Amino acid sequence: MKNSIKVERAKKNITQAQLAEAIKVSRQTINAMEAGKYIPSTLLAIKIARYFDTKVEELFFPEEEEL
Amino acid sequence: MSSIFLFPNKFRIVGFILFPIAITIMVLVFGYEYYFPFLSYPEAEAISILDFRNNNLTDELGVILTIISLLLIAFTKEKYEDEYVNWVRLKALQISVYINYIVLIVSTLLVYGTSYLNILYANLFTILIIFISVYYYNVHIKGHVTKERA
Repeated sequence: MKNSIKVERAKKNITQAQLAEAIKVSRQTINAMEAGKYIPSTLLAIKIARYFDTKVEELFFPEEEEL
Repeated sequence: MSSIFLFPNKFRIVGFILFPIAITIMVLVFGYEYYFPFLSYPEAEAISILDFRNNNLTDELGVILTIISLLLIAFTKEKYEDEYVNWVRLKALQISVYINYIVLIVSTLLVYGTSYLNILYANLFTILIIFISVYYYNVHIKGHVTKERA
């Protein structure tokens, strides 16, 4: 599963640490998600989407074979 | 998000203080056969199904302290406890169970006699020790090395 957290972050011009603080997770979590190593829970995905004022589907996109 | 019980973060330091004490007691008992005199009790009271005529509690103290200190080191909350760290923790636990039993299978095939008993004895603690190594490596060593790529 890919995601555009890094892109959204660049648009807003905030660091991993700032995003981490805003959604109350560790910076490591943001790092792992951006690297595609960790797929967040539904709750966290919604939190991130809300923070970037977007939809979960526009932030996370699974590969065809994953569906 | 609810998760399985973890000790408060402060307990980790207690674990790190207790562990060397516990190991010292274990070395004294199993290496030098030294037993604390004040932990002795009269022979007559040694009632157990398998009576090994052990009337001193030093070895029990050592084992219990070791287990408790390892549990405290292994299962305390991180300063930033979130779902990712929980996921890393569960993954480390699974890996450590696998490693532990692979080692046990190999030693079952290769080791015989009393040394095998020693391996079984060490196995009381190895899952926790492997878990702590894997988990701390992932969270505290690898985690800090991962630099932010802005």
